[in-house]
Amino acid sequence: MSERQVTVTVEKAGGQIVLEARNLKKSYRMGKVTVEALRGIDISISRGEFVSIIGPSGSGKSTLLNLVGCLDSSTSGQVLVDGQDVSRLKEAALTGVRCRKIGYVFQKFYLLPFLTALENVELQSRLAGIKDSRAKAAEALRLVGLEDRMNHRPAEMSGGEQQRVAIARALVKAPALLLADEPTGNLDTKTGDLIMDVFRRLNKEGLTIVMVTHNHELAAQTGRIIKVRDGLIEGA
Amino acid sequence: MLDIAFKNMWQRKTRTGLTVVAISVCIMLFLVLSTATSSMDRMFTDSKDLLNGQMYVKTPSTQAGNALEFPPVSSSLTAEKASQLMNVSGIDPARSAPLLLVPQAPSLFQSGPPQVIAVGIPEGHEKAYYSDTAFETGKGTLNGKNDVILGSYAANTYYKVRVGDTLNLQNRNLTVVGIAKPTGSILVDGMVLTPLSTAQEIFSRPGVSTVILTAPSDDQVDSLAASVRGQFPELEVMTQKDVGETLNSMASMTHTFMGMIDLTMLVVAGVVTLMVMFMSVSERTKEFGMLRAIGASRSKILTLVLEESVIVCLLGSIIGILISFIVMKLMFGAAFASVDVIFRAVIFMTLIGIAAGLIPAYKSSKIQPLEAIRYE
Repeated sequence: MSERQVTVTVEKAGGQIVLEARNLKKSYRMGKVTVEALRGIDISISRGEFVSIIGPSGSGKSTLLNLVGCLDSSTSGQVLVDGQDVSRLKEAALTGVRCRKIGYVFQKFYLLPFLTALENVELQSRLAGIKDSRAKAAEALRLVGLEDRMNHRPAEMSGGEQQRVAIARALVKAPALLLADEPTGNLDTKTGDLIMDVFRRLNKEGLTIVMVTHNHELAAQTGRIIKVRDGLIEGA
Repeated sequence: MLDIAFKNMWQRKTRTGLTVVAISVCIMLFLVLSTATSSMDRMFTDSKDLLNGQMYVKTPSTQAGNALEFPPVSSSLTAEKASQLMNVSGIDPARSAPLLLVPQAPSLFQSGPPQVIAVGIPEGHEKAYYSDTAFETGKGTLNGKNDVILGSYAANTYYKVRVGDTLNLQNRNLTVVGIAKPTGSILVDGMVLTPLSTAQEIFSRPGVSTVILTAPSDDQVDSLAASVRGQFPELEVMTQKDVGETLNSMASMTHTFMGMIDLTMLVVAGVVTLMVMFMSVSERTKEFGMLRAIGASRSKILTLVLEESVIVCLLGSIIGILISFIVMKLMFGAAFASVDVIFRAVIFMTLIGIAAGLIPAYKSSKIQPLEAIRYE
């Protein structure tokens, strides 16, 4: 594994396009019926933006996030992450993109239950080939205010704390952008606000964040709102 | 990823423990059975070699199954017939003798020789039975009516007596006068040699079981056997060749039996290991999906599973080997197993374990991270 030198603090920049989708389509076959989840989406997100994608359930907003996050492959169209066309990349190259360029925060946290907070974050930094992985992991946990909970396992933490561990895990590799799918969906309002505070602070420091939510209040706290309905961008 | 593998296994203690137990039990059974089979082979070979130039004269078996009986404990000859046999011309009288054989401990193996056998033999003819066996303590001759000579297994393991001790055989007190060195032959190692008349009294048997006849030289064995067969058509003669065949067919029956158990056990072991490993890896599809999502390559995930499988299989193997040594110590009085057998067992289980882990891991690492995460 090649080692990289990174700093966990996010780099400040602006203007440059970090994520772009061109005529993105995705269809599933469910038995004999073909469901068109995305019917041609174009988006462009600049470095340093905090964008929320909203829409009713089944609108295709999570599908869009998964496609731009290289977690799923599109039926047609292009995705460019940090200027690199990832839509036709081989699996091994996609793993590299997921590992180094994109940070993920899921609704259900998805932490490894048998590792402590610190070990969960450290695993990510090791996968990304970062030097001093443990120190960097500790730094990322401090950034989300979890310096006291580093040696606790997920089962010993509250939902909000687990989500902050997940955010630290996404941050530790200094990603080009952070994708969050309903990050507050499993949390109460107060804890949800706390997570939003963390996101806003990170965004102020320069991190590009794309968040999927169906909560309009949360969306209102972001810099730009993209509305998705029936697999298309509303108003586009 | 080795530390992650250890942490995962430690966290899932019950499952790891059960897998290790399943593997160790399989290894243990395999080792004990394989060792029992090979030690039985060795005992049969050694017993056969001891019969150089000798033959047993016995009554025909009444049951077909007993045709393979060796030594011929269920044969029965009258004292008169025995003395007629001892007077046949062309025998070495010092190494020929009528024998009364009474098993004292059952055979370890199906239709094998008894582990301990009481042998009544006329004084002065002892060598007819134990041949040139050397003695550890005491002497190899019976002088008194209540003298007893023991084989090493009978003395050291079965009765746990020493020269000079009293041995109670069916309420008759006998004095141990000699203990033979171990020979590897089950017939000598398990012998309880007493004067014929004493054995006849103890077991209330007026006659004898068989007469062992020795030709003066090896090349006279066949002609002696032919002459005895001619003079006593109602009796059967078992030469070394016949005994060899008998022992071989006993051994092959036992081989088939043990082989079937061994094979069944290996199949069960394989299936159990496959199931446990398959289940434990399959239920981690979600976890693998998460690892893939945060950038773990497929080979990283396969390495993780491979490491876990190897650790579990090796741990199970080590424990299985240790248990098998304890079991063998209890069963045979000594712990032994050839390196070859151990090696085969460990390699087999490890290969099964790796295959059982890698197949589902390969499958779940192949699906899209998103599908794997959503997998319930």
